[in-house]
Amino acid sequence: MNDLMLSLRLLLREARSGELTVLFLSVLIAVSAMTTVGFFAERVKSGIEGQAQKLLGADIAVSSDHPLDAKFPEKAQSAGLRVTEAMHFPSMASFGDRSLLTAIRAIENGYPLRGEMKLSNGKMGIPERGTVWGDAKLFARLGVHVGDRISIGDADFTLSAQILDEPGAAFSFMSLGPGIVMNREDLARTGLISTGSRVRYLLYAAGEEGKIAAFRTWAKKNLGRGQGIEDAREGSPELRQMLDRSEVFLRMASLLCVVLAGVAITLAARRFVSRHLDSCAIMRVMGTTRPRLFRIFLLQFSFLGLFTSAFGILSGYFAQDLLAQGLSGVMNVHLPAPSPLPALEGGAAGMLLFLGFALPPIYSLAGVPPMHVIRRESGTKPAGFLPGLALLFALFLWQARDWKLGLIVFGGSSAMLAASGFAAILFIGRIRGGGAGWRYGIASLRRRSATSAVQILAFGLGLMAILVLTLVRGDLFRIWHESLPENAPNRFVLNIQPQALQPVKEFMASNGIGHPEFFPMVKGRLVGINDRQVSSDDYREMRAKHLVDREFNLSWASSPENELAAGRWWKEGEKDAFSVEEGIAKTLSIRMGDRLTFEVAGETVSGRVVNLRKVNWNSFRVNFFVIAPPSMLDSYPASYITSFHLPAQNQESISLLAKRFPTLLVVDVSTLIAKMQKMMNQVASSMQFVFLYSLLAGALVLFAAFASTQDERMREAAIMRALGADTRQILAAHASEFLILGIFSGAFAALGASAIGYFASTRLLDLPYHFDPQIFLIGISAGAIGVVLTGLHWTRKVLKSSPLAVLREV
Amino acid sequence: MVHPVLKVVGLEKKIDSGLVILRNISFEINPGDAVSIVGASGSGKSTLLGLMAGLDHPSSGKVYIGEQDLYALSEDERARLRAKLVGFVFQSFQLLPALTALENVMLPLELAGRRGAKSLALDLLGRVGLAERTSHYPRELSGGEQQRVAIARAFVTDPAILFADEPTGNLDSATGESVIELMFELNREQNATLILVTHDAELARRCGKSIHLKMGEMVE
Repeated sequence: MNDLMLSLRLLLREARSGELTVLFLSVLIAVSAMTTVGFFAERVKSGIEGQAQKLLGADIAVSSDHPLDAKFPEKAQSAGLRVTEAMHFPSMASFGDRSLLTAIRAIENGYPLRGEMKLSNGKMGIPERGTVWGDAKLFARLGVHVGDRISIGDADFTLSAQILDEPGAAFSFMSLGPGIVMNREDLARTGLISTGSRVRYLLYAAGEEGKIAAFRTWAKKNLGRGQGIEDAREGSPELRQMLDRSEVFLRMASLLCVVLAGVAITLAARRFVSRHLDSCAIMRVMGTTRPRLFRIFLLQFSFLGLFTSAFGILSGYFAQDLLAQGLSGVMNVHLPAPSPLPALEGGAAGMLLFLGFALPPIYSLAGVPPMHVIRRESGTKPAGFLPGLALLFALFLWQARDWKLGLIVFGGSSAMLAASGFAAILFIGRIRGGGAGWRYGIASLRRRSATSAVQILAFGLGLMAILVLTLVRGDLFRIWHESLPENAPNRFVLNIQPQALQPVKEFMASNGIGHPEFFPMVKGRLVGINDRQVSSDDYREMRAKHLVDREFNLSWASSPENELAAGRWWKEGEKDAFSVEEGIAKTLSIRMGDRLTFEVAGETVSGRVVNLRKVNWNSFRVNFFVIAPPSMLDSYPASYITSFHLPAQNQESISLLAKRFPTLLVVDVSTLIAKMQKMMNQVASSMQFVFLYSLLAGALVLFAAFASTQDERMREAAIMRALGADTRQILAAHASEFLILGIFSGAFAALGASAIGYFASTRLLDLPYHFDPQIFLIGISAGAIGVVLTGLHWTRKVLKSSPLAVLREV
Repeated sequence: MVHPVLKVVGLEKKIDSGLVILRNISFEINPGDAVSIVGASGSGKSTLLGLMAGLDHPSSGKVYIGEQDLYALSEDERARLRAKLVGFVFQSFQLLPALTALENVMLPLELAGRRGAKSLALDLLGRVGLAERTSHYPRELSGGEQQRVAIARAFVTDPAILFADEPTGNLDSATGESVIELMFELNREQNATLILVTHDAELARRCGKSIHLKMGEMVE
């Protein structure tokens, strides 16, 4: 019989006898976990990105301050992308004797490419010629109704619908004013567009991810002056940060699943080896050579790997689909169908994990001396872990798609594994004393110190997965939550003139708004850094170009509102100093000590950067990129700005404020905040799900760790029974062993979780990390209780079976 | 009149498939006897031994150790009875791999809560000629040495009954012989009852009494 047939036949026989169940389950759950995470992460990611695209109205937009060259739409169309063009500009709109500065979007067929406009009349598409749509603010501020005629430039339009929700409006401060949407073909009639008009020309495109990426690359190379790219991820820094963080988190979770899977497979393979020593020795006695034996096992395991991986992919697909269905309901977001890529990745990773971790023990199994038949103790050499580790490392780098992340998680866990394993072996060798049960438990640990260390690490890794994910998850959520508290400011009031400052303050205090803080604001253009003239051409990044082209809102303050990242705050009366937000300093390559020159009201104001500030832009508080000491700026024309939280039931006071002080600009950001919060909730739900998977993988490791020593425990308990040990004594022996394993695992898990939490938080997520000593208490208690209870539950079979049967069987 | 130390009455053992391993076995063993259980492979020898020691459950019938009906006791009570009265020697030694030779011998004493376990165990290891190997683990000992540790472990509690299941089955003839000598010697010294399962006709002859099994039944 050839080896292929023989392996298949042996495999079927093994499968029937139940010998492969544990191995099968480990690989199944591992592959299933990996593909579920893969599929699901991909779907959640594209779901969240889809949401972001809806906010932009497209996958990508090319924006320009002059009409776009035809090569842009042509290129996008020839690449198979859907395109539509739009123009955005500010203009006065009037109704009767009232007029208002509005933000106008002139759109053409196809807009929006992602998401949809929700209109009061339920219609779709774009405004018919001669009609426009307005948002709620327009209706309120201009006092118009559907059907009224309003004037824009030289033309009159019928206001045919109110916009209830529109993509593209959310994340830009500029667009928060009253908005009007018109048909682009009506634009010429208004006579508003002429040379020098402040128009933004936009080309929106949407399509497959690969084509979008290719178009983005091409467009970046072909951008001219005053042109830039906006895409769903670059549209808003807050959103981008959130997407990046959630991606990192998902990747970390799936990496932990990979490690746990490797451990589970190792343990399952050990059990397989110990159960097959006898039969292998007999096969060798019967004349099977070592290479042939290895070949037979290799074939068997390859079949098993293929079958299990395929099964794992299938179950992973169904699991994620089930969860995605549930989640898309909760998240209220459509999760697009997954690509086949995660299936391929999961299958390949499953096979690799399987072969990397199972083959070394199998190789040593094939080398069992025939003498084993006669003398059981002449077993095999312990298998090397190196191939598995090398493979794991490769998988890490592959899964992380990021050297830094892969190295941190892999390096951190390897170093910790080695150190903890060594410490465990040392410590176990030193424990002494106690009664027969305790003594036996410790002796078992000591004799199998290497195995015990592996078990500690296995339990520990499972527990660590739980701790890391609760820790880092907790950190993320807490910081997000803190960044957007319940009473985050939802109204901004701008353009408060100095003479109106006191009356506005008094009005607010007496109308239930309270005493918000007011900040002075002076407009200034950055013209120089040190001796260098600053121009937008100096920068490649779009954000930097925008910043330089635009006027800065400068402010002054005598005490710091934000945390300082570097440098010192100024002394009273000090001049010649600036405080700069650290993010913008990085974008514009401004360093501590640099001399900045601003042009303010026709004069130049210059000072040295004496400190860099950390600003949490998610807080929705008033913040400034650049702040100066009061004496530097207070002689220039300033206006004031404030922000506050307005409860829903107090809307009236804002209308009163706007009526009493008509020059004030009141901006309502509550819808924006609601959208942000909804998005955060989506991210949170998806993370919780992935967290569940790591838990499952951790439980699998526990299962495999117990299963791998089950036979040995059964035999030893049977001998003890024959020698007169009662249930209590056997329980005591096991409990003491599990207790020590549990305490060690818990300590290891806490150590690992803290370390990984620290690195992940500070290096990757850019969040402050606070070490929490409680984690050790929790880790050790959870480890001790968890391992003792699970262990005793798992070994209860030992107490129930007949000693005679066990002694004969094993 | 001498009271039997062990009495087997109408013992039967069937397994789930309906196969009868032992059928209607009855006999008595007096204190100090050396009894061999002989028969072909599969005749039910080891099963009978296991049932006499309370390691399994009979399908019907009774086993008495002294006056005590063994299977009227719970699993734990039987274990405690073994700790007090019974010693064991197995064909495959069944030493606990986690424990040294000394710890293996101490274990039954510790389980029974006896004091002075260490000195008793050292004494017995000395008597089986392993005074120099007390701190070795089973894997570091030869087959004969392992069996001698097992014998020391069996006798250290001063058992009333010693059960031995093919004690020389895994040993060469010279080593087997020395192990048998040792067993009989300790048996005489401690006046224990020896019940052993064997294939070895010579060994069976050395025992005063033999129980022959054939297809699960006693034959004369």
